[in-house]
Amino acid sequence: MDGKSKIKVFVASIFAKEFKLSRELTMEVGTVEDLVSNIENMASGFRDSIYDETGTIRPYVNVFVDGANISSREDALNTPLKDGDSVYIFPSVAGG
Amino acid sequence: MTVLVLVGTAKGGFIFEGSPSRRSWKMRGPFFEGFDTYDMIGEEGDERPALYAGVNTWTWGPVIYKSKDSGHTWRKAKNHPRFPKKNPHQLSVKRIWNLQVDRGKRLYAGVEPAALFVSEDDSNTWEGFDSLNFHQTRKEWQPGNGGLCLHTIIVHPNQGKKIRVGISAVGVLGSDDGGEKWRFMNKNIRADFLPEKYPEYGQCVHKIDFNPSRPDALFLQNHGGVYLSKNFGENWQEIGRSLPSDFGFPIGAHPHEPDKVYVVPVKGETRYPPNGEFQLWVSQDSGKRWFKSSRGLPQRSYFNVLREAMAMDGEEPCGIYVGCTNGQVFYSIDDDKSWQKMAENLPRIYSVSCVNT
Repeated sequence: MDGKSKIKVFVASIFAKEFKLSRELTMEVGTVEDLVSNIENMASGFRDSIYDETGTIRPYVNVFVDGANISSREDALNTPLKDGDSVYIFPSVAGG
Repeated sequence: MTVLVLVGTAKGGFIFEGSPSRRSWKMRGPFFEGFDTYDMIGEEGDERPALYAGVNTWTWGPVIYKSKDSGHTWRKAKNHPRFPKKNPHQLSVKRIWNLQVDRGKRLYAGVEPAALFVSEDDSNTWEGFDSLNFHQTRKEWQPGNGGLCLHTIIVHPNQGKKIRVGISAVGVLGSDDGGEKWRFMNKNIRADFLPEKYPEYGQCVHKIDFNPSRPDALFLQNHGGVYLSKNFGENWQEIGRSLPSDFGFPIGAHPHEPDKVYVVPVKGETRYPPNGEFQLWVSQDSGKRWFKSSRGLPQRSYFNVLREAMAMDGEEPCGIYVGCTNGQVFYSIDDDKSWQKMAENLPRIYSVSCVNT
């Protein structure tokens, strides 16, 4: 498997619509960064919308790995993924 | 000839298409719905000018949109201004503030945190001006109230290697070699909020404008003070002492009359017009004398006009347009003798620009 795990990715409709993606994807990747790169290969510009030049996940983007929001973690992109994980990429609900 | 007035707001962009008389306007939009649109511009001199918009989205970051059909449809650019990964100051682009197209068809973008980028292939790829963006003094740069932003880009129309930029609150920087080397150009500009009133840098420049037929003469609205430079920013002289307030954001050089300039004074403490009376002031002699222009403008008004929200259309007589933070757009087509309302109930207006098609 070369450190890769089979996971499911659920993409919020706003991203799916913008990047013409299916809302549910299955892929084999090792980390969150690999996952984003994988989607970038399908939809140019996706990576730039998820994290900035410094590798920081954008303020209004939430990435959940198995229910845990990893967006504000240091080194969030290197979060390892394991077989059966579900990853959700959603915009945050902001405002009052 | 049709005038398009491009209006960037806190909830997207709008386009107002004028009738030949410019007495009625047809609105299109909103485009980029729900997103901060800090600037919309168009290339001049084309039947179907290319339009560009700097849009700061909360979902996919700050991005450039472009239109090739006078703003009927828009497409997100392939790439956007971005710092190099792992750059020395760990900078990432937060907002696009200002766009400019020069005659060589280069597209410039000024961003927050303060930096300048250029695209020479119609926004497919971008390159940063590293010697400015990672300037040796950068660690000392302080943000203005709106953030540390590069909000003004002036490219000399006859000498394209001469570039001047305005940064809040750093001041004016200039390059004479196409952006290789940069130097501060704040001579005689006040910084009332610093212990030293005339420092080399640290001024809070709000906007700079010029008449392309006399490009060496730059007009500048500062955070306290209106200024004129007769030598493309080498030094400045204060010209706004007789205004009811020398604080304001936009400044507009008349496109036909090189000595004519407009400002919108607001009180520095409150950022609404003096005595709550919306007023533009105009000088026809490069700031020696100023006259109030307010006929037709609301007399009770507690809003502001932001730095990018004044534009002129270059028609005869020249149309002047201002967009307000309360979502109103006013314009004059009789040489500022009177003003009419073009639009109201728009979101907070960030930018106004004109394109003649």
